Amino acid sequence: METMTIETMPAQTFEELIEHYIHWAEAWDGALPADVFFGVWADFQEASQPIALHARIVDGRLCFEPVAQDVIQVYDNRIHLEDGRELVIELQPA
Amino acid sequence: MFQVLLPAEFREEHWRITQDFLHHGYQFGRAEWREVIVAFDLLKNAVVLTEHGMRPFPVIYRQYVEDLYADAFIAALYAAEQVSREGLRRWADVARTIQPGLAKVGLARPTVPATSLIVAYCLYWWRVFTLGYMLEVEIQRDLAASGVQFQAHDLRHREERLSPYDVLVLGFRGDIKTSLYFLQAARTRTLPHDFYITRIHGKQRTRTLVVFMQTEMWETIDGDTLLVLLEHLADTLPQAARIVHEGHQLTVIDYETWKTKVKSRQSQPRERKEG
Repeated sequence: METMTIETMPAQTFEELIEHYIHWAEAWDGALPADVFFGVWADFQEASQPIALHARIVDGRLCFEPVAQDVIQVYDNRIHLEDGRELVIELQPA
Repeated sequence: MFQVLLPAEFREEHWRITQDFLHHGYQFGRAEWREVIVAFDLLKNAVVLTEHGMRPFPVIYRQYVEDLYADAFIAALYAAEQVSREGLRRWADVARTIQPGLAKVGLARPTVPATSLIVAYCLYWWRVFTLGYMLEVEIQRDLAASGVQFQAHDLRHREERLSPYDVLVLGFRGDIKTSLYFLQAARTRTLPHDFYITRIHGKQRTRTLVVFMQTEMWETIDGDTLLVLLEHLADTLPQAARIVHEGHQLTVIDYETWKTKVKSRQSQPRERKEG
């Protein structure tokens, strides 16, 4: 299992990995150690930046690249906001 | 047609950390948790594309896991004497059905390796969901047993548990989150509630509940604190301290002290907030 990834491992090995996960997680309450919790939070604060959207023009149409944020989701030329609304960006001729 | 489209940012290291999480997540340190939280956030933008259309991973999770099992799980928590034991047992029962259930509807396919990420995604969020509601039911019971006056939603009603806040104390809106979900939220958004209750392990591996409060609530129940850096906070608790998150000050205090101060405030004549 050490040299395989879940991308390459046989189905049976993946199923064994799932069972292994359930076995340890069933005995673990999920609370993080204080130093880990505050450390990760500090790391995220340090890394926080304004959300940058990148887009390409494909066949005359704007296509956003995926964003690693859950406050918005983007597909093609659409931006899904957290409150359920959707922005559709249309390019206009100059 | 059947394709799993992953975000371009989901790279080899995210595949690796997802697998490592399944293998030994309970042993993770600071760097691994930081990576795995990002990996599962990225997968929120993954989609399955078929001739019937596009389904994002979060929609698949809701349809094939949460919508099927959440109501019964939460009802069982309310009926349980020992919330944690019953919750973990039922979490495991459902977790064992996730991969077979996804396989049955064609979303877990050995011939399409990326479908293993759908399984991992559903397992991860079912874990986050269940631990969150276990903690919330435990806190509701503890607040009642401690004599703290509060209002809470009945989580057995779906519309109530989707409410933007979990509990109302002294008129302040609170959110109860596991430490992992708290970090997931703190990473991507500001913390809009008046206070947050979460559980972490103290230095002696003791289970410790802590409360993060906005300034107004803290000033209502007390006052003095020491401003410290987030990274030093583990050494400061249980003493009250102030930190800065996204430009706003938050007061951090251990849960038992918070309850004592809230009860003391609730025993005084009320001025403006109710709850």
